[in-house]
Amino acid sequence: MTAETFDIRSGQDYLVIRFTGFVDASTVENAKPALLRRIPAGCANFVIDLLKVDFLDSNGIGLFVTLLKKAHMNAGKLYVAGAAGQPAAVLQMVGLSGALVVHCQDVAEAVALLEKKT
Amino acid sequence: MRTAAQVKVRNPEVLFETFRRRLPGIGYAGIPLLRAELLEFLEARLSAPRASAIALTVTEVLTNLVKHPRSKARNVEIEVRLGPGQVLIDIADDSTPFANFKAKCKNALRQADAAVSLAEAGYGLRCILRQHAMVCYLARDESPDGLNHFLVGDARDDVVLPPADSCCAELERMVRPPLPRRYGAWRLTARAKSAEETGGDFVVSEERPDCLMGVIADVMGHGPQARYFSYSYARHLRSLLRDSEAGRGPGRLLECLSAAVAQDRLLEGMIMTCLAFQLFPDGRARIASAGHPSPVIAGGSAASLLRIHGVLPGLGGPPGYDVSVVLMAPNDKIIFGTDGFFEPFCPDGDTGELLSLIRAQADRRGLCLAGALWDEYLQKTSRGHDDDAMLVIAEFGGTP
Repeated sequence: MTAETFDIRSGQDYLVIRFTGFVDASTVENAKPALLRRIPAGCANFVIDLLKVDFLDSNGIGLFVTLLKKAHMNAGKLYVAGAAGQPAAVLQMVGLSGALVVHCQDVAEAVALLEKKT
Repeated sequence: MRTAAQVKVRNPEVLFETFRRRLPGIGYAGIPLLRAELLEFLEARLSAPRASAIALTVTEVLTNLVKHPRSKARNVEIEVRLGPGQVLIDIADDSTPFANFKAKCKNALRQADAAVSLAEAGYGLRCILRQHAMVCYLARDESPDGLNHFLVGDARDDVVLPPADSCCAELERMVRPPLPRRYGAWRLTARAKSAEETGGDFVVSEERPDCLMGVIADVMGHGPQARYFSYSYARHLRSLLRDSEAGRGPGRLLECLSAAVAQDRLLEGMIMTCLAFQLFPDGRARIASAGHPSPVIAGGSAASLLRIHGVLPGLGGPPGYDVSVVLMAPNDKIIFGTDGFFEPFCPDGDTGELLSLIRAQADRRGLCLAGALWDEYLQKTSRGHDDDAMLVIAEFGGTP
């Protein structure tokens, strides 16, 4: 994953990570450490923007679960925004849902939920 | 005698359209390019969701070949064959074989219906198993060509009979005869909804002089695969219900089913939960579960879950299934449901709302309670809930 395939935006108590293109082994393997380095310690909530993702595989799921663990450790949540088509089908297939994951239509909805909470 | 034309039609190269690539090894960078070529081939022939499901499977297998083997593959052969009504994927390689494949599949299947946990792995295999009817692996020391083969078989989704097809309706009727409305002092009511033409939820039953025995089942998935497997399972369960050994009781029936699924490569690739029950004229009920949601026992103003556990059919685990015996008072009810029915009431696994709803109406007749619960279910799912659902209520009317 390179600067072209993800970017990070900070909010009050959250990070919005926007992915684009493929989130698979070919991108995740190289960029996972870089992405994790850019996450400030103690960050509790993550918004994963999948609106521009064309393809997601189990390596991408593994990355999201790493973020989910970080959120869980800091008593926060993982927000999945804009998932549709193939990425949405994969998320559903592996069961990435439940109390710690909030599925939102888009980033705006996720941010509204987070800001309402604070 | 066959004519030349007939012989030509039977030629597999005519019946099958094949995507084939042979590579001198594989790395992460090569996977997206190969996937793009495969998608182009598939999207011209299949629906977009089917094409992306196959592309995901091929991606997962190839990623595995890059990530895990001790000795890397120097020869990778990818073949995706689209036949009339079926898809066959064969990915062959000469790397270190995939160790403990069966055990890993069983583990992935065990997790397949649960929410993701913070510790588990194996998402790739889970995706493959959830997408396809048949998944198997042949290690190179067992294979005739000396290569490992990851084999996936499936039905195509563009050969489904239309929903109104009379043949389809007739098959449905034959495989799934309705539950009897009455059995002795028991009154039975069922409601069901299919997410697509025909879903994977079904109930089969057998009336006997001493009891009514039945099975409620939920074959995971929707569409052609779920339909095909629910037919297969329903037919198999009907034979088991009539079998003198398997039909002895709910526990024995699930044991026989589980043993049969474990030995059948095709059935083994599909996930099903089921619950077997036996209702006796004196108000006794015997129930066993193979990974199915627990039923609710309701009567007066009370309602509680009857917690029964058992492994999914075909998974092995501890021998035997626990059987719960319940003695019903007049007007008590057993509320059976598939996951699709219970899930909208308990999205986070909390059954409080469902039990409160049932308690508030537990003194109503089974038929009325079924109507009320079903209306509530339809209301809850009116904004979209893409799953099959089935509700069965067995009400004991008192000793005749």
